[in-house]
Order: sequence, then structure tokens, then C-alpha cells
Amino acid sequence: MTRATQAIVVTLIGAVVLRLALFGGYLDYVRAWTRIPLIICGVMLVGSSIVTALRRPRDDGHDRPRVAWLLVLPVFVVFIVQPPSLGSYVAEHQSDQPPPKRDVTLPQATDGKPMRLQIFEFIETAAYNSASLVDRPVRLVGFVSYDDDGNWYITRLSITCCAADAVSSRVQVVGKPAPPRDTWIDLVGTWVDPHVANTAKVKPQIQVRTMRTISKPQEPYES
Amino acid sequence: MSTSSQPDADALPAGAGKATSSYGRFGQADVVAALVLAAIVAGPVLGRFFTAPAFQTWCTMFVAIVLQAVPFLVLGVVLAALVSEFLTEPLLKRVLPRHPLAAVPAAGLAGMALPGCECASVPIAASLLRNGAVPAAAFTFLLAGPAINPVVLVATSMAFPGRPEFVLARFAASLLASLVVGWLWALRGHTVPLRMSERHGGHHHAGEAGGTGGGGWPRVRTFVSEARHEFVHTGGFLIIGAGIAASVNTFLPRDVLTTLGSHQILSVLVMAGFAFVVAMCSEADAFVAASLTAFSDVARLAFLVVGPAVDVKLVTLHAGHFGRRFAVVFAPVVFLVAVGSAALVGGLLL
Repeated sequence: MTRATQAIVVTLIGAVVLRLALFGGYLDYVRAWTRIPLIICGVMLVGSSIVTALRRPRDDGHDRPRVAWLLVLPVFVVFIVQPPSLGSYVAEHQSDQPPPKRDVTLPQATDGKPMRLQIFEFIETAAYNSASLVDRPVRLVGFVSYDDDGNWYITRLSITCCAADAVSSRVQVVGKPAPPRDTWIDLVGTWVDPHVANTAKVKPQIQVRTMRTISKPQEPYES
Repeated sequence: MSTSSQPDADALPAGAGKATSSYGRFGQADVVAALVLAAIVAGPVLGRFFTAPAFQTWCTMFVAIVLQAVPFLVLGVVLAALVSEFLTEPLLKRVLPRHPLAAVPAAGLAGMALPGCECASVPIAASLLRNGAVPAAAFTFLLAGPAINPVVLVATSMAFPGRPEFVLARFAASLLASLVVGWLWALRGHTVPLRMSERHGGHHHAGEAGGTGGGGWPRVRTFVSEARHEFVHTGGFLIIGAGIAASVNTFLPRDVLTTLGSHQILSVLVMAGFAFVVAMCSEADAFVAASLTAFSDVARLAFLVVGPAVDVKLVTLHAGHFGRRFAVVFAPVVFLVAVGSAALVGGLLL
């Protein structure tokens, strides 16, 4: 790889990073806090090539690690495939695990308005403080996924660092026919009380009251 | 997953190697630029052919790993360039204890100061080695840095709320593993061939500049050029690792793991092996370990100790920086020591 090509490749990576960080696409892949570091890195990568462009050409002999060619791969993937945020494919290939034990307390009910909960919060509460969900309307936002038995779920993925560590949380929806896979929905409903002693062992369900289709939120993952 | 531009790419630098520059003529750089322009223009049309969910999932995870790694990689290569510029051989000799056996614990504790994860530590360790650090000390730093720095420990304590002993166990087991590997290297390391990646051409210019009392602009350019070379080199290997890790994350169902979780000894090995193939960032792995509730505490500790020390992504990075024959020996040694250390510390503390 000649130095000029190296400069182009680094500029491209920098441009891709900047494009994703500046126009919001990065939220499909990584957490919101990475935006500033990504912008700084994008500027540094593009800037490093400007520094090189200003310098006179020199011996290129030592300067061509072959493996560097692989760096064009993510550039092509971003421009051609334009991979979307993760969805039902991931959720349907993970098993629904009971959440790790922890103390959950929900805020007091205010004016009878449905309470907005993250889906993983709903699952934790159903498992470890189910009394607080009885007859209480909650609002969940997520996308649709299925299972092999024909049930459907409102689903959300949580990420810690990047999309590769995504873990799905999902709640089975009853009372409405299933929308197509990966449709984003905003629903209000109530927890279905299974009337058992240990609710952590039961997959949570929600009985829908109202439901509407929405467009994908800017931040597709919970954290 | 190779690129279509590979054949032209390899054909052309042969000419460039004879000190003819590719500036100002139709060469490799133009081909790359043209291909990328074509991709940008044709992307939206071609994109329609790539809609299989599994493939898109792979692409998303691949881009995500690369994007997440970029800031740490840039940080790593900038620190590495600073190390090679300022932590010169005489200075290093003064700071590090002379005897390799004593230098190892010093390097291990120095790892606590690394503000990042494993992508940053490899170029820094390589830079330390080039500046004449004892290999055993450089490798101890390489292993300890990503595992015991404050960011990772805080992340671990958040993932295991109310279990401070987990943080302590992670710290102790990772430090122990890196010390043991360091000492092993101090004693037996000379039997393992170590082939450093080529030092960047620009560095000779740094020497010239320093010799003639040069500073300022040429020095900045050398610094930038060295850091960028390191970025391209390390980045290329990172792409291989990211591709493998994305494949594992896309195609290996987690249920397979869970069914293996019940057996005591087997579960430790399964989690250690999982850490190796899944190549997770050391700041994220604690949350994944916490979510794998089917496994024993010792098994989850093994996951946390093996992951930052050795995984597929790191093996490719090690092979790139220290040579393939080195990586082939280093990886299994580190794996075994890490598992042993996790089992020992986990048995005592958890």
C-alpha cells in the first residue's frame, strides 16, 4: 500500500466515522456517549491525511502493510449495505433469560396516566416486584418479534458498548393480532398476573389496551 | 471477505517499493478512489441485494465493533507514538527496574493507568518493546492494562451491584495472570521467536530531524505519519478480529452455552472459550457475564479474566505486531494461565 493510498483509506475511515457521528447513524451501532470521541477521531483521521498531503513524496518502501487493505471493508459495508439497527433476528436467536435479581421499586402512580417503562424495567419489575404492576397501565415502546409457537412480543435490545453485545428483552403481547416483524410499536397495556408465587419463573405478558405503529426511534437500543 | 481490489493492490506497490512515488501518476491510489466513488454512487442501488436478515445482522455487528474500537484505537496509537517519542530507551531503563523479575510487577501495576480496552494496549506494548523494554514487562503491561484499569473495574461493579468481591476477584485474578505470564516470559521467553512488525520508515526521519536539531513542523509530520501507519496496521488486524467476533455473535445461539452451564468444571472452560471467540470489549464483558445467570460465579470470573487477556481479535493483533510464531505460543499460554488464575482466585474469593 503506497502512502497516498494509505492516506485515502484513512481519510475514508475518518469520513465514515464523521458521517455516522454527525448525522445520527452511529446510534444504530454504539452508545450515545461515543459521539464526541468519534467526532474527534474522525477529524484526527481526516486531518492526518491533510498533513501527509502537504509533505513531499518520499521513499514508500517500508510503508505498505498488506493487512491495511482490510480497512476499506467497513467503508464499503457502510456505503453499500447500510446495515440497519439490530432487530428481530437477534431477539429470536437469543433465549429469554430471567433477569438477574435486583431490588425494583416503581415511582408512585400519579394521575392514572400510563407509566412509561423501558422493556427491561417491566420484565425486572414483573419478576421481583410484581405487586406494583397489578392493574397499573404501563406504556412500552419496541419492535415486534415472534417465537416458534406463534406468539408475538414487544421487544427491545440493550447494548453496553456496541451492537455486538446486544441483549434482548421482550414481553409477550396478548389481545391484538401481530403486526409484521420489526414494526415499531408504542403500546399501553397492563401486566397479566399469572397468579403464582414466584413470578420470576414466568415469562411476562402484557394485555394491550391501545397500540399504534411508530417510526423507529432515534435511539433504537435501551441501555 | 477479501476486497476485489486486492490483485491491483498487490501488483502496484512493487513499483512503489523502488522508491518511485505514486504521486502524480495514475496508480494504486486512483484505483482505490475510483472504486470507493463507485461504491458511494452505486451503494443505494446495490444495497437492495443485501437484505437477508442474518447478513444484515452480521454487517451491523461488524460496523459496530469497528466503530466502537476506533476511538480506543486512535487513543492507543497516539499514546504509542508518544511513548516512542518521549519514553526513550535511556528513560525507560531508569524508570523500569533493571531485573526482569522485578520489572514485571512494576509493569503490571502500570497497566492500571491505561485508560481504555485491549485495542489500545497492543500498539502501546509494541512501542514499549521497540524502545527497549524487557519483553516480559511489555507483555505484562499488555495483559494487565485492559483488565484492571479503573474504567473496567467501575463497569464491573455496575454489572454486579452489591457484589464488591466480584470486582476484587477480577482485579486479583487478572493481575495474577498477567504477572505469571510475565514471569514465565522472563524465564523462558527467549525460546519463543519474537518478530516485531517493521518499524515505520518515518522513524528514521525522526532520527535525522533529531540529529540536526530539527523540531517543530517536521517533527509533527513524523509523529502524525508514525501514528497513522500504526493505525492502518493495527486497524487492519482489528478488522479480521471484528469479522470473526461478528460471525460468532450472529450465528452462535446463546442457548447452546446455557445448556452447558450446569457442569462445574465444564462450565468454567465453556465460559473461558466463549470469552475467547466472542472477543468482547473489556468494558462490556461484565454486563454480559452478569446476564449469563446459568453459570457459576467462578465460570463467569473465568470469562472476565480470559476475555481481556486473549481472544480472537487479540490473537490477530498479536500476530500482526509480534509475529505469527509468537502468537501461536503466547495465546494458549495466556489462556491456560488466565483460566487457572480465575479458578484459584474464584475459589478463594467467590
